[in-house]
Amino acid sequence: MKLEHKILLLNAAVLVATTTIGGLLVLTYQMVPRKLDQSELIHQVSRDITGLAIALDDHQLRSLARSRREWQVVSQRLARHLDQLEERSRGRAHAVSLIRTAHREVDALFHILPASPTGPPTLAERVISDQISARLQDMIGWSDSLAARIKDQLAAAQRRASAIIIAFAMAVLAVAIGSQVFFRRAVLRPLQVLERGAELVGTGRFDLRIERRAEDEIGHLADVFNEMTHRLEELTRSREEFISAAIHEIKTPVAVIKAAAQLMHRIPPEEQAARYPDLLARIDRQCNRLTRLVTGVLEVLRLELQRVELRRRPTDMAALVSRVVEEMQEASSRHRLVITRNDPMEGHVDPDRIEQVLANLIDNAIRYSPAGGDIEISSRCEDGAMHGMVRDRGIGIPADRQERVFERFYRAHAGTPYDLLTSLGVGLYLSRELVNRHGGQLWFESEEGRGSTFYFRIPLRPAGQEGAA
Amino acid sequence: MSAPAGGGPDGRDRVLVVDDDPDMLDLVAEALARAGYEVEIARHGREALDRIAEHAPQLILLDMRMPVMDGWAFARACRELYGRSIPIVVMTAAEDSKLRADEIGADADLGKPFDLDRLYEVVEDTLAG
Repeated sequence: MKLEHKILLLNAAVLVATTTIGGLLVLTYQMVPRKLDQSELIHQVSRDITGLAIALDDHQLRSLARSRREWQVVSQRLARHLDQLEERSRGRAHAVSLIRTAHREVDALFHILPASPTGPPTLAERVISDQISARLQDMIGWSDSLAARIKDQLAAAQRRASAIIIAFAMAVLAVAIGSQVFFRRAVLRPLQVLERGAELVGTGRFDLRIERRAEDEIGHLADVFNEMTHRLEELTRSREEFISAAIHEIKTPVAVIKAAAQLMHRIPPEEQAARYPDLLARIDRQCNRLTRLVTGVLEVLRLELQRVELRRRPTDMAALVSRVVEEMQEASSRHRLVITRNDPMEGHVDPDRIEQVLANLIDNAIRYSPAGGDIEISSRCEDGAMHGMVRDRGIGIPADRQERVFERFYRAHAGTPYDLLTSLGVGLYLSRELVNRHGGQLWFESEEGRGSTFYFRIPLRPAGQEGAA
Repeated sequence: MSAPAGGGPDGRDRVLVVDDDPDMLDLVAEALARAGYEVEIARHGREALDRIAEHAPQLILLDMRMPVMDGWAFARACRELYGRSIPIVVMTAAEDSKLRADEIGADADLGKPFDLDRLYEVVEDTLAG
């Protein structure tokens, strides 16, 4: 699962939990003022009932007028309080209706209470008074038990609220710990691994690979990281190969030059005139080879630094082609370089770079046709551009390697005996870069075992100057 | 520089030079010939095996990087056919010629570029055993 989705899920869970627990808490707390209200009313009811008892006492003490007045007022108040209590408890308190019934009963009894303004109470009066007192006692009892029940309910609500708050705190703690664990495992730890990995790569540990732990963004990052170190490793290896190949390539012509020079010392004077021209020609040829090689290596380094500048000047392209072909012909006696077409044209190009490109292509053609034979070269003027071609009948480039031949340091024949024909793996890369800098293209057709044909197209004038003479 | 008495039919030691660079091949061959050796040349390993069959040299000077059959493949084939009877001297432009020589169990090594004096010295010493 993606990290983004995991976080979304975590947030949703937190939201649901918070809403549920918060809702419960709100419900619980809403109940508390209602219960408190009821409790207050019960207290009033108790006081009212006591008021009735006092009014009855007054009656027995023969304060008849006050007693009636008092009873009247308290009785009305009690009825009102009972109504309110009934309403508050939504008719669910049985005790309220009991008290109400008893109240009607005592009210009726009080009003039939015979009263002589003076003298001791009659027997009938005493009987009725006792009955009223007994009912009032019952009413006090019911109201007390109702008060006790409401008090219990309040205490229960308080306990429930505490429990919910504790549960809420636990839930928050659990989420905090859970998300901490989640972030540590899914984000922090893999990021630390990547960070350490990046540091190690910074110190040159390109063989480092990071284990992919999850199918999420960080897992993908690990893949990207591994891809990067793999590319760096390959690049480093190909660079090292390039350096040792370059050393080999440079020492080879130097060895010939040194051998020729030392041999000249050992040739007796009478043979010198006959032998020297050949030896000097060999030295000269190897010097050219060395120059091309060093130039190529330097160009590659400059290209890496993006510092190749074209020095364009008017150039006789046909003469350039003839000159390069003539020079390259000296490199091999087993190959015949044949110019099949060479249109006269003037280009506004960097002649040194174009010579380098043509020489590279011919050099490759010679290298990769070890059996010798003809190498065709042609140069055609068309649409304001030079269309060059170099064709050999050599070993060709295997189909599965054709895509990569323009890669820097890539050698299409690596691992085959032809690998030892000591290409530095930069010739085609360099040639294509130089042609591209001229605004042109370089491409090829090749078939393994039948040879390769390289084509290039170079505009005779830089872009934007085609119309100018 | 005098030619040592050798195992050839006319008393001269025969040396086979194997190198894919025609200039190098010619120059080393000429240098050895001027020192009195009989010289055979080959441009790669397979040609070298043919020369050995024809001329039975007393010493082989071997370049490593060559087309068709390189120094490593040649050394293996040569050991299989002739054992260690023909000493091999590796001459290579690689960074560590000693390492290359050890790889194929060669008798000596010459790192390119080399002095002709050193060439004579190594050839003489190796022939002397």
